[in-house]
Amino acid sequence: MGQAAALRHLTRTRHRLKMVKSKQHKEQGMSKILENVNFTIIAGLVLTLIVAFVGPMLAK
Amino acid sequence: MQDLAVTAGQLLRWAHVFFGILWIGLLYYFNFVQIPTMPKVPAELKPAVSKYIAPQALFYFRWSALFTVVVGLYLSIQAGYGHQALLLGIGGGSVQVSMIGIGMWLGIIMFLNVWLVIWPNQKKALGIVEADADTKAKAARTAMLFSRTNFMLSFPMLYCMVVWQGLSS
Repeated sequence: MGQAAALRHLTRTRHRLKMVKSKQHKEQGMSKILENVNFTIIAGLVLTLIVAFVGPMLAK
Repeated sequence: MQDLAVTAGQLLRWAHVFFGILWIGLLYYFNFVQIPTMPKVPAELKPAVSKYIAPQALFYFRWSALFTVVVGLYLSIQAGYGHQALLLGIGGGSVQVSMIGIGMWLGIIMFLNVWLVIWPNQKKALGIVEADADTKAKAARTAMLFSRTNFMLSFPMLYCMVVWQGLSS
């Protein structure tokens, strides 16, 4: 493998690793929220507020 | 006197609310009572919940979810707004139809979570179907996370179901 090819391979691998880590972080963050009943209630209320304001805009 | 006559539509509306209360009531039982309490229950008493209470609660839970959604969809189609509501009222609906549409989709997502994720995983977690200890633990966690997701989605879903008729277009 030439130096340029090795560098491309390394860049791609680093990018993939970054994506996997970012996905893991997102999943862990969501799981953590869902595990805690109080956080889930707050998330549900926030979602309700969003629906209350955004929902009626859909028909316009 | 004719106004007092009970129609099939009224009975179905009652059935929709009845099964909805049963479904969401059990969802709240799981999330407010059973899931937070299970870690505190002594090991020798856990089978009372996992072998007797949870399977019975899950029976009413999944079937009430099915009846709620089926009756709700039937009522919306019969009333003539079902199709437009499922399109969220985009391109020719009203504020009310958009709102009930969001509620309907949230309910449908919750129903699919019950039948396609929570119930199959609970069957493994509770030992209704054969599974090794690792699979059981993983299944219990997945079921819990999806139950919590439904718990979270129930807030806006109930809001849509309650307010849509009162909205002015």
